[in-house]
Amino acid sequence: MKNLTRRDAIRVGVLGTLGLIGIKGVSSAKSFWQIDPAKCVKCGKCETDCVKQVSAVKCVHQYESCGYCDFCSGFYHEGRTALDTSAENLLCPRDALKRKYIEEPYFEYQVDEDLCTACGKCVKGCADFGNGSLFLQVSREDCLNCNECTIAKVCPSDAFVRVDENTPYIYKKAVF
Amino acid sequence: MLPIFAQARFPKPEFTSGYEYPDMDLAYFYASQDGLKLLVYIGLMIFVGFAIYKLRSKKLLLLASFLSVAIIGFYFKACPCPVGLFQNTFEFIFNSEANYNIIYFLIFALPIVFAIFVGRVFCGGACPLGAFQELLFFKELKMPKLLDKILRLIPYFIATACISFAVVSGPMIACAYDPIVPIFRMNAFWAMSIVSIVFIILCIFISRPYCKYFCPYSVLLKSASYLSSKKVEITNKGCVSCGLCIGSCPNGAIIIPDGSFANEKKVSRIKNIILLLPVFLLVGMLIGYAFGLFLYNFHPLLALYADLQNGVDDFNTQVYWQNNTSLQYIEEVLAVIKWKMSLTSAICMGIVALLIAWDLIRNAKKRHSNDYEVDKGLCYLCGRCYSSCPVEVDSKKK
Repeated sequence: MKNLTRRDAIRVGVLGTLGLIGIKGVSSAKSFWQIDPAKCVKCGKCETDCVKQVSAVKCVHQYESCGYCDFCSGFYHEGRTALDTSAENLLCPRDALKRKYIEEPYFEYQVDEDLCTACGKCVKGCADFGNGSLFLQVSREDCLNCNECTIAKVCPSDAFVRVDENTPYIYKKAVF
Repeated sequence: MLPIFAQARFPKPEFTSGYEYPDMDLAYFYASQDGLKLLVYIGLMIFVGFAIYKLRSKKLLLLASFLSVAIIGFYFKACPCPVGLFQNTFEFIFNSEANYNIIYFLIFALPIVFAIFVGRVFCGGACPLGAFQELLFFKELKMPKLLDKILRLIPYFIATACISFAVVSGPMIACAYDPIVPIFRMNAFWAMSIVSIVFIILCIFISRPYCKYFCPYSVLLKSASYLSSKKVEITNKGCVSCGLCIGSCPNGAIIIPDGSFANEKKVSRIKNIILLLPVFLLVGMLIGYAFGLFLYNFHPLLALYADLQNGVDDFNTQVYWQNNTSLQYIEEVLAVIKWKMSLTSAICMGIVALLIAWDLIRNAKKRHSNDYEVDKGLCYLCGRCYSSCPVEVDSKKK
């Protein structure tokens, strides 16, 4: 019987230790990887370093900040021959950035998330010359929320941060 | 290169056609299956407990192993598993920002809770990694005893490494260098796939090589299972001391009764070990300190530091130079990481030294029984000894 009580005492100790970690665990909200657009330097590693074959990172367009220009530096690349929508003039390699005529002289630019692979070319183009209304975000739908994000490991600017799972996106602030 | 904020280079368009901004909200769909995984783990652990203690059936244990490999392994891709969560839990203890929630905690803690009451039912068939090795094991090649004992020290070092990296929120080594998980996911990089293939071949000839020689979580489970009040009884009727079970156990978990209950030599050995405890602790902490310094060399930030010193011009160094003017910042960060890792490693190895001393004391203690029994900490609840016992086979025939 004496042996049993000693064992029970150690058991209570182990359970108590686990309980303390558990109490700390209850209070923590599950977190999710997200890109902080203010830190992102558009290096293009999001496209190549995700564990998924098509990266879980997608380009997002904040319409409120967009100038709706006819000439869009996120839409046309620098070596363009003409300002039309033929493929050799477009910056996006996968035709994921769609352009729609609204009214003279405004055009709406929309990202097709199924085609986007987060190469960041349009984001860089938009930020360098335009209003910076395009930015990269990790899609909650596609991201596996790995223990150790393989993009975060190589991200040069530590732009990958943990956010609350219930508010998984960091939107840019509207410029107007 | 500067991170560029949204700025109003072009004016806000003035629409006249009544155009309204489209909704930019991103898709938010995520069905977490973690709760389901937790239930599968608990179900399998209870099932294994019944199969091994009540029904005494090897076939049901193999079924549990098969279910674990199929459901947790191949269907859920073995994530999250307690072996990986071992490091996550320690990271969470030291860093509240880490990704952790109550379900992760339960998946990590419940196997230990089961272990202190009913033994290692988790290892017996609920763990997809253990179950995978159990199903592969076919023909035993005897390991030399000394080599076996030395290799069994490796998990202590791996556990120490996991905790040391967890304290500084470093790389997840428990997950990244797991040889079995890439088989479930079919996504290993080339070096790891070679390791995995070698490992599969090892599994055929050595019983549970990962569990015995590498698993960091086993350090906790092994110690916890010595508190268990239940253990595998080799025979259901009463031991006749025939010794036939010895050969059936591939994990060396069966204790051979040596007939000497309490001889003088053993008592003096226990005394010596207790007197030497401070030496154990000191040696352990010194080894731990050296090991921590060794581990520090693998911290990923050191690569950036080397690049900065050598003047390499790439994205990483450019971003560093944008935010800092000298190497002082990274040197300060690295110094903190260095002392944290070596201190953690020293403390962990000190505890390990005490655990080893406890092992030695337990082995030297007098035994009250003259029967062949299993060692609770080394037994993986595989049920092989049941069919090797002539008493049990005889009683089942009747």
